[in-house]
Amino acid sequence: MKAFFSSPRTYPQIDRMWRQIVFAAAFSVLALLTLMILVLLFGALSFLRHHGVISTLLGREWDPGRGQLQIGLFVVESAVVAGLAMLVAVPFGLGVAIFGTQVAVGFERHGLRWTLTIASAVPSVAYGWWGLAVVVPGLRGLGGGSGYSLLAAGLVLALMILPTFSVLAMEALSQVPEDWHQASLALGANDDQNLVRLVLPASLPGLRLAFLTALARAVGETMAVQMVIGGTAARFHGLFGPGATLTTQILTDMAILPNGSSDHGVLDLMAMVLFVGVTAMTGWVGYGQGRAEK
Amino acid sequence: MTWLMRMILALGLLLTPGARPDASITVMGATSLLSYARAVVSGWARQHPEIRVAISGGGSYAGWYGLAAGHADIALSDLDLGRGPAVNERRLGQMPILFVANPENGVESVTRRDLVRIFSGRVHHWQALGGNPRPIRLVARPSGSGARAVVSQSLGETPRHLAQIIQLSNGAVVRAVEETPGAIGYVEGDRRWPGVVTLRIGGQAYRPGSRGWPFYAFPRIYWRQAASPAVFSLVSALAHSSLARSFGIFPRTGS
Repeated sequence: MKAFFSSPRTYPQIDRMWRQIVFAAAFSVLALLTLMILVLLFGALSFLRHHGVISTLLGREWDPGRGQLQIGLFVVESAVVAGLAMLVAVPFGLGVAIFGTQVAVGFERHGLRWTLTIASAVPSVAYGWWGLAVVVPGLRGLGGGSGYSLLAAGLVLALMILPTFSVLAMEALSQVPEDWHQASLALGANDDQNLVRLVLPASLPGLRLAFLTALARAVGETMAVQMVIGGTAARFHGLFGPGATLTTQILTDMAILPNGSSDHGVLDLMAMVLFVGVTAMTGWVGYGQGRAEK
Repeated sequence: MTWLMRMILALGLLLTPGARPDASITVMGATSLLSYARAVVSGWARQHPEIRVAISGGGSYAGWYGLAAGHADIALSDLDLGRGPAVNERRLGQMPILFVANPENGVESVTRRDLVRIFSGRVHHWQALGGNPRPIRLVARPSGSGARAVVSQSLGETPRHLAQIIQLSNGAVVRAVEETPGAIGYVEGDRRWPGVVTLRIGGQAYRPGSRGWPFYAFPRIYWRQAASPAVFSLVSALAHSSLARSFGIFPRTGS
């Protein structure tokens, strides 16, 4: 094998085979993604044809046992939970990233990056467990309710996406060339001016990507949220009250709307709404990036 | 390259037909019956090494639809799903539904009428039932759960405006009740859960086989009439296993 890889000779047949393998890999990913979208789309459209688009997407009545299948409340509560998580995680994560790239040096910087990488790989169920042990009782003491709430879900998600956002933000901030720093300082900028007027604007595309990745993880997370959100699907009970997101309700009602049941399509629709939401956010980030580059 | 050849040869040997069982059976359905099914299947499989048995949850409805679609050979249910064409049904017995409450509520016994008032939202504090001054918090199972069906049927539907905490399993219900002051929930089976109070109903504590207990789920198994002899054999094992009692499934008492 060693001789094969170190040999300067070319092997046209092997080259062709490698090309075919990588093409097949790329094509199969695209084909699988298309198939997945088609299956969801088919289920969602056939459901909407029978139940109506506006009432299904904007209505708030959910009781699968009685055929009431309106998902508006879950869309709103998904947005609230993801929004809360981003509201907490982004400023905090940006602070961590600025410390890690602009202040910390040597062991501190490597230690921080290593810790954040490990934390971003922790399974979500562990964050959910932590949420049950710490966040839910904490909010119970603070808000007086049961503690199972949209706020608990938002805080657990914030903690969960914080390492992911911080690592990617550190990566983005560290891409600014050292020469630019030196030039900025030579022109008389202090550290704060250097950060605000040079480093942050220059790393904006990377920060956007970090934001999007964290948001996608927040919107799509199921298990950690399910463990602390309370799961009430009837009405909006406020931030300190229980609720349900699109992902948690899919998990909860898979049992009563399994594949093959007449109303299973509503779960396809909920998955499709998530997919379209994340795709729209990706498009928005891409659009912003394109404008910034111009 | 010899290591690669050896690896391919080893994989080939592992995947030869002789290493695989001859047939397979899929058991699917109610999560509350999965541990029982797993325990029975592990003993049954030792006597039938030629048959591979896959067990998956998903709930009673999932098992039923899986059976109808041909994805499952045996469906487990803790709900009465009726009887489809060309489908056999066998009742396994009865599983008690027990009400569990947070110990700090100060209530260890309730009447059926109290439970109706609690789950309909007509009483909001434990003090009204002789307990401590704590707000009542309901912990419930999701719509597809057999335990919820029994409770709703017996006590009436809980109004939608009440903020219930929905949990997906017995264990999750118990944990939520244990950690939430004022909480009350319900679980299937005869297990004694530490950290919570199992409520007496009308002064009566549940005992296996007790006739007067008002809340039972009736687990069932369904299978196609045109099933293989192996499926019939496994159904028979599930229906007659002596392990049933240890999983909280008791012969029907006619209550």
